[in-house]
Amino acid sequence: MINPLLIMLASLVLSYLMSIVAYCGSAEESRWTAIVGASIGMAGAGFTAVSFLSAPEVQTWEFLSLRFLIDSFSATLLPAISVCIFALVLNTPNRYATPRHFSILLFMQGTCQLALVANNLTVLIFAELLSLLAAIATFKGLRTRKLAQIYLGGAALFLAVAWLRGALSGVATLGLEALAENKLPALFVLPLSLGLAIRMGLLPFSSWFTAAYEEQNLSAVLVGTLPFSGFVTCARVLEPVVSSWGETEPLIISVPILLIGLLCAGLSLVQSSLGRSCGFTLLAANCLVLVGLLDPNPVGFVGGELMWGAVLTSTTGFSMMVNSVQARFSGLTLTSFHGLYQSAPFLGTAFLIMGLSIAGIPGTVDFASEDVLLHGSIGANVGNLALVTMTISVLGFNVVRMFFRVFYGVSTFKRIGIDLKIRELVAVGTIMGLLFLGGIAPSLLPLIAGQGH
Amino acid sequence: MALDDLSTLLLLFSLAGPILALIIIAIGLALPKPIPEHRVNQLCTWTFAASTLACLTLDFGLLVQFFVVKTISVGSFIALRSYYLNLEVIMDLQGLAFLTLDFMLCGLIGAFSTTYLHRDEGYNRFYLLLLIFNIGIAAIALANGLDLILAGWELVGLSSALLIAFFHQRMGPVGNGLRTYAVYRLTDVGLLFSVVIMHHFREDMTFDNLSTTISTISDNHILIIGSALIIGAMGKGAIFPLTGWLPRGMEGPTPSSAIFYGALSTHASPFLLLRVYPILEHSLLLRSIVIGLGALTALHSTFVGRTQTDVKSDIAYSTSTQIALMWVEIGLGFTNLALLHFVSHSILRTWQTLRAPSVLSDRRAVMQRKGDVIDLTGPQYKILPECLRHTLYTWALERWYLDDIAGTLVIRPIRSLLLFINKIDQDFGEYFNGNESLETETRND
Repeated sequence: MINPLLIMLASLVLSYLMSIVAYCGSAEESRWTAIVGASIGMAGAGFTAVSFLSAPEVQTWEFLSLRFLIDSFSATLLPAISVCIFALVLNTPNRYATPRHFSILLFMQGTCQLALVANNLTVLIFAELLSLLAAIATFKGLRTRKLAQIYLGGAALFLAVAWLRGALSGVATLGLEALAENKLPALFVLPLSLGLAIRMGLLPFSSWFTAAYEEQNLSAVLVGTLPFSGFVTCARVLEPVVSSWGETEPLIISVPILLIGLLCAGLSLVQSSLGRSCGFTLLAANCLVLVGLLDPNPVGFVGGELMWGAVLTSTTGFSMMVNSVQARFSGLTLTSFHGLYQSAPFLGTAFLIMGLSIAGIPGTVDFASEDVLLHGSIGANVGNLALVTMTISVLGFNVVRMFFRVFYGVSTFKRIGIDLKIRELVAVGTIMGLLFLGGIAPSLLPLIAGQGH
Repeated sequence: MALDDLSTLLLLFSLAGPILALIIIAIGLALPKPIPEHRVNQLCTWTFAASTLACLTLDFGLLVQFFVVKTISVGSFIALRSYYLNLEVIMDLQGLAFLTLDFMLCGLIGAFSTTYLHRDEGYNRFYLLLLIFNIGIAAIALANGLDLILAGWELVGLSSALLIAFFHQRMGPVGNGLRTYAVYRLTDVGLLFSVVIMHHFREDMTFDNLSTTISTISDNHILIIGSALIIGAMGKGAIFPLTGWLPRGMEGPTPSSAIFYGALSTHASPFLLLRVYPILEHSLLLRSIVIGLGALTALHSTFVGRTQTDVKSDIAYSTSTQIALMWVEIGLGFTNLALLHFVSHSILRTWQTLRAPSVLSDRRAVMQRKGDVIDLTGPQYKILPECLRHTLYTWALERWYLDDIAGTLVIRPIRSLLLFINKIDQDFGEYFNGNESLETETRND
């Protein structure tokens, strides 16, 4: 039997290699290279998920004090990430399709895979720093690059300080399970938390995130701002720290995060820019994920992990659709109705479904994940529960508001050929397939199957 | 075949049809050449007819005790070590009555819409949304727990909003659709809240054992759950102070107005209260709240309805009045009466709303036969002093100033705060980018 962990490691090495190949080719060649690279990533991740489902045991491997693992968390998220990257490759509009862009996409695939299979602090922090590097690279040529450089550079600095402190304490090369048994120094936890908070765009560190979404060139920004890897460190390193404080999530952690989430959801309602409204929607969803990933309650933690995969998939899909709209109609604002549904019904339908899946519409994996999340520590506290339910409600309303503004209203003429193209339809279909499959049969997901009775 | 299996088979048969029809029409919409109108019509007609027949058989079987009330496990949705969610449906008279009404009225509306929406650009889209709505109501009707009700509730809310905005090239329907969805989402907080809280207090609480399990929960917890459920039910039932969306919701096509706001969607509210009546039964305070809200809504809708100048708004407020009276009946414990009221009112209001476009010619015919103007005021108002009549009229015309109060006390302050925070965030970002601040024009939705 082939070790799925080795298959995954080979896949991520191939991702990095193909990233270099993509950078050296023409735009068309690099898209095809990226398609092949993403397909290999999907195949490897799929094999890993199926292997885990057939034998749900944690698998580990060590090489030169670098440790790797496959568990239910990584077995579920690896396919989600590969599918998202595949969809992003297909969905990239021609005007943004550059070798650099596809190279960064493959680089991010490899980095996210690395973060998910990492079993010690060194590999994890290394993956985080690589993702920050890729994020900074995506801002090249954009108006908001200076702001992003300051924030992301600061995040990298904090993470490096945290790693250094961890190395000095001797925890940097321990396995993650052993890490959980050690008392971690404050000078490790604090800079790590700060670095991750910036990386994930948590208020008040969100300005770079939302300003980036306001840019028209959303395609380049997608890679940098979707926090593929930031949450992994939260789940692997910070959650054991929080768990050591008690059986339920301390209010001092959950309440501020949930308040930020509700505030972001509210801020998304008052935006005139489509991109910026999308950005705040993503931030609000990320807060819900974060509060789950820091939940010591096993049900809440599984809910957080599941929700991370669900939000990752749905926000990728939704951002893709926002990007598609922006690529076709620059300067679109939410202060008036634009009536695009008549000209682009598929785009509109995909926009609505992907957006509503963030808010947990029944039938999608987000609905199942929210259900599990709410039955953790959050469900035990009335205040927290109220904050989460209000955030989810506002998110759903905002998506419909954006849909109505962009696609409904008076359209004096029908535009030809602006609807989704075949490759974009394939991308949308792939994402929707994952969303609905996970929503109709969540017990098939390795994360739930591995935790089953 | 055992009777048990037969009833399960009939139920599955009734549900399978609409689900399959939905998939076929959804796929059809994605194809380059849409499914012809007459095929869509045939598909829906046969589907609803077969489902209605299956449901009527089940109703009859239950009434004559050929079949028994039972729960059917659909399967394990989520199974973790310390948390599980099993999907179950309950086959009882209450649920089947609602389900039968659902299929019967959807079938009627489907048939009516054949000519009403003939050659309309959104013909297939209408039937897709109608099927989504139908499945949502079926989930609410058959659910044996609040989880499945929540799923159905959300589907109903979404399809409602999209159908109100069906004529999406007109600003009125689009704005009103958004407003309706806002009210739905606001009150869905209560329903979602109650789902989690109920599960937290008793994992095994379902509708078939609610009467026994609720007595193991403390009074305070019952109050919390009940209050959340009442909030959840207020939105769809257009209960005071959330009545404003209902007449605005009549912007959609007449068939959808008939079935959504005349019949099924609004009646999901008293149906939810009927399902959770064992919870209300345990608390006098909760029942008092239900009665109080119902009475206030009835009073409000009666007055406001009399100042409406168009027939559909008038029907909307009449519907709201009757829903409110159902709330009062449930609060007083007359659950069978409420169920009967619910079924008969749904049918009457569907018929009335479908006839609404013809009401002017009906009125003319009545006036010709009567030979005189029809006085709708009634003698009861003439005993009031004139100044009071004017005040009541103004209040009713302004819908008791509910929109103004909501805007002034709730929406504007929150919006101002959010715009202020947004400005700080934008200015901070622009400071580092070295550019002028972007404009932050926003408009009310």
